Amino acid sequence: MTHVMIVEDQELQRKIVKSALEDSGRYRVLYEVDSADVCDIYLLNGNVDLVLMDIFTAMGADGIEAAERIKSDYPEVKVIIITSSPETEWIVKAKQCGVESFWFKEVNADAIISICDRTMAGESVYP
Amino acid sequence: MNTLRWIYLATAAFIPLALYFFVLLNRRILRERIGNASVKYAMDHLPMGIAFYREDGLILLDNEAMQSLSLKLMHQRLMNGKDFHAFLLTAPAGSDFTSDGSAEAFHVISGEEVWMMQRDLRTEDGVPVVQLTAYDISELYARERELEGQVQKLRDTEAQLTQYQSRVRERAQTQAYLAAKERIHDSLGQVLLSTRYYLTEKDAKITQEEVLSAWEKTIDELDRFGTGDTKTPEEMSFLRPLEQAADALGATLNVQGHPSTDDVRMQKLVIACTRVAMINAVRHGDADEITLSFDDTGADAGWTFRISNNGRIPDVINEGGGLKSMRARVEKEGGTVSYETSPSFTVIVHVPAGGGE
Repeated sequence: MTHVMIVEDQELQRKIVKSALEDSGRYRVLYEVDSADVCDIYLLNGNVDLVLMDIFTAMGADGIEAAERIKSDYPEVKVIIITSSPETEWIVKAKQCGVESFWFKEVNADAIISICDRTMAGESVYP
Repeated sequence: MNTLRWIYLATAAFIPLALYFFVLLNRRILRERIGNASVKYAMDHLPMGIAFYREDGLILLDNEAMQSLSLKLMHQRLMNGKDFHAFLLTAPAGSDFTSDGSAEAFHVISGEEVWMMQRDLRTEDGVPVVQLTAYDISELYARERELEGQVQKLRDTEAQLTQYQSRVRERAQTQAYLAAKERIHDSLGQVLLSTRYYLTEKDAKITQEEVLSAWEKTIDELDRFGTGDTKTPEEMSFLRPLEQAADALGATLNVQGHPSTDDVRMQKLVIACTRVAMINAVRHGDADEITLSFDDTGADAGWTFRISNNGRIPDVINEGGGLKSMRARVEKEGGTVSYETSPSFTVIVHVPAGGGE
């Protein structure tokens, strides 16, 4: 079972992603956090395997900055950046931080599961 | 014969001694009695040029310095005080100096040399006498010019800084505007995706009410953006994410005092510092209670907040990655970070009013 933290300030999006992951039977969402500024605190419990990180989170907290901190302090935790706004500079920054995968949001449950499966299998998925 | 020799010796000794004492006495007499010579001597040794003349210009008394000035500027010895004064004041065409000021006090500037001329009318035994004084103020004048130059440079720098500050503000506003645009774009994108999901998925896990509520929030954000408000909407206290995070660790975040600001930049700084302190306290100190307290010092004194915990107190404080980046962030806002180790390990952050602007 892969334990997941979703960092996303939009409640609907969190709900959609969570239900897609948990319906697969292979993922369990441990934490739903709406601000990237505090998400790394949750990792102290040492039970998160995968982080799905939005770029724009509550209070303007930057998901890519948070991803950089996570990859620095918890390199074993895999990170997938998710966004609905395609900007090349974010893809470049995410790669520089060592983020495993980058995904433009889709509402298709299969697409969500696919990117998570591929990332956990060691693949780096970028557009 | 012997007697004669002694007489010769005495005379030979006496004469130089007598001469010596005669010269000494003469000098003493000269010093103690004021005569024309002594007056002239004293005048010639004054640091400034000075001349006394009648109203028609006839020189009564002058000194070497004034004579030198006359030679230098008028190319002749000082013959008539009134003509000399008029010459200096008017600086006729072709002369190698300039002057400015009034008849009673004016400057004469010749190359790098500057004199301050002063004319006073006196009465000696009922007779009007003009005193003309020339003070060499070349060094002072040069320093004044230098100072004026520096002051002008400072003024220019100040103007540049003001311009730069204005550009920085403009840029910050543009960035805030762009950031808000990106957020709106992201919000719209998300709500559209959610709506599409709701409409296309047979077994959608969200309700119509939830979708409509999301649209309301996004439209509200668009409205505020349209009025120039680029701040993010917060329904809860900015500290609540920290409280929730502490709760997830099985720890407690106690908040004391009131963070009296709606400055988002300061709020984010508090969150960033508390995050670092909390992580260090839990990871290295086994703490389960974090206290965040705000000093009530008033807006003008700036912000001071402290983050303490009930965990182990470190023997040595090593500023690793987290504390280092925290310090860098605080100092970027013009603030300071310090530590206390008694009675508990405490991080103290102070940001002065207007810091980081």
